[in-house]
Amino acid sequence: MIKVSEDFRRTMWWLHSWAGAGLAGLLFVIFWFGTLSVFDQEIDQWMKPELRITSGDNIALDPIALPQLQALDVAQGSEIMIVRPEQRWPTVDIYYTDRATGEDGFLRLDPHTGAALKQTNSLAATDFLFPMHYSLHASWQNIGYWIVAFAALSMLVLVISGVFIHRKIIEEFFTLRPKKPARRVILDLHTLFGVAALPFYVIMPLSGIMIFATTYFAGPLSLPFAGDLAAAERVLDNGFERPLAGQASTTSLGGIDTFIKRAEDIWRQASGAQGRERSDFVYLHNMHDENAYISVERYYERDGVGMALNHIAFDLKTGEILSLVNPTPVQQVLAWLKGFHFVQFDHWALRWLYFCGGLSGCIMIACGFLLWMNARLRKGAKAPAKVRAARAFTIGTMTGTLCATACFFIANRLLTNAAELAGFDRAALEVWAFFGVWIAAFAHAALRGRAAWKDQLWAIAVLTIAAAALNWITTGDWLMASMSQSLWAVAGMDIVLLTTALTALLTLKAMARQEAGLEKQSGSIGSSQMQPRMSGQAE
Amino acid sequence: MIETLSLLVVFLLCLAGNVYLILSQEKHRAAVLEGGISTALKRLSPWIGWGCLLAGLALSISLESLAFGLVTWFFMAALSVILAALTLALRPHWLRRFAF
Repeated sequence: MIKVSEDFRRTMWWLHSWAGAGLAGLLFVIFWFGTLSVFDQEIDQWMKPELRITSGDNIALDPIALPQLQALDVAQGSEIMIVRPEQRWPTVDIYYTDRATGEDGFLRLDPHTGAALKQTNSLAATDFLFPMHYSLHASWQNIGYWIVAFAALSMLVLVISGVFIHRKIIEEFFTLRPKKPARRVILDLHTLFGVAALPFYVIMPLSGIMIFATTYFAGPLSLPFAGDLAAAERVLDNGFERPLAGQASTTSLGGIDTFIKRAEDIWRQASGAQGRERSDFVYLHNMHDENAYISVERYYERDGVGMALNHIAFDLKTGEILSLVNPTPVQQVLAWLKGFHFVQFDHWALRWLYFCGGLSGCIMIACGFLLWMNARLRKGAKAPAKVRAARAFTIGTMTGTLCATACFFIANRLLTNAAELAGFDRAALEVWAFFGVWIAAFAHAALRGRAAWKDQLWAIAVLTIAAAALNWITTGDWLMASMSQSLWAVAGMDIVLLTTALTALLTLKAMARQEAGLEKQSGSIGSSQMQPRMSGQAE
Repeated sequence: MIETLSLLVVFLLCLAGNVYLILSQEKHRAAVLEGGISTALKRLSPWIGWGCLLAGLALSISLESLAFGLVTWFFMAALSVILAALTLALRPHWLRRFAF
């Protein structure tokens, strides 16, 4: 162990306590939504029933997408992006921007029949829960990104200061004493979950900051490009751009699969036919123009941790290769860190382990927050307003976030596509349900005080069970039915919801046992002076 | 199926490694062996624990690629630390049979 002076340890302790207290709420929210984002596409399948289709990795696009693309009446020079179906995202998705009107369009196709699917109007996980993780949906001046980056940097400071304040870190590694007072159990849990996955808590914030480097360092990066950040990003991504010829093309789009196969063969040859060199996206640029070209892109490595970042551009008319881009060694390092954070690889066991890692982070932050709040409760008996505010903030952040998330799922299952209120459509109403319940959770915690813990734990149990039940009622896919149809994403979501309910009920039971023990203890001591301390311990 | 079983073996090696590391620490060992017999028994070498963890790492890397193996092993080791600590918290006297 590194020998450090007591003064240094005290300074680190002060830093750890106050930086943790100031940012624990924010860090909990970022970790919670990051944990859910590990399974964002699976949650989407639960929230959007049209995605409950079994699909494969190598479905041909020509019979599925080509008729729809040919029917699309987009102007010359328009852009189209096609997302290829795979196990986690089973449909063929087509996004397009019409150059004449500037309007964006979207089509979701059945991967087997090519029929356009009716879309659920919901932001679901990929457009609500996931962006909440990295931007908090605060888009003004990218303020959300900056807040999250500050929290990530603070997380690194907290981890390092946390390592220094423990005298015997290896011994404390395995220490958990459930029969000790609650304060001690919470400290043990904080240390145990903090130390067990320590490298994870370092790499995740670090890689998270690096992912948005172009946002955080926009000024210096765009300086050599006369302030044009898009140009800087194009160079960083080895992007290829071909200007419009301005002359209408005489040839029509013949096929896409040939280009996909050619691109994948080139990647396979380059890697010695090792992994599954599968492309993820196909871009059709400058549609109906003489300079129309197709770009086949491979973004995720699937068989490895890192991201791939390969793309090949072909002339749509002649088939000539216009650009062939492979990442440079420096880009590969960044791609590995990004891949480690994005968790897009095909490894179910590892995906679940990431989920557990995220949950352990939530538990660590929550326990640290509780420790700080307990300390305030013990010291703040003379300032009940401050105590009440600290407690309301803690409860609202932790159990309130879980209640709001469960209500987001419930709103999704209760509302129909036609739902509209005060000019807000279904997707917006789901978001309002989330924020409304979250604000209500803070208010409830402020009004109810300590009893709010129990109320909100009961609420979590009831709401998560209700969400699973509503999924059954509205879609008919109850747990066994989902499993029998191999809809593992839907079944997994239901299992997680029911496990959350069970955990909330077990926590309530543990709290009741702890309180009974304290009452017994205070009864035997027979001293009313002990009461403030006891109530602090029981939190 | 074989892949799942192999991952299970990696997890069990990590768990065994952490349990042996626990039993190599006097404080935790005394907790497991409470009842007055701990003084009569020899303290375990932590190297058995480290050996199991390293064997788990080697197996994980050989089953997967270097990067996947390393990341999988790390998460399994972390999860097994938490499970081992939770098990220890229940005062598992059945662990005595391993603490010879």
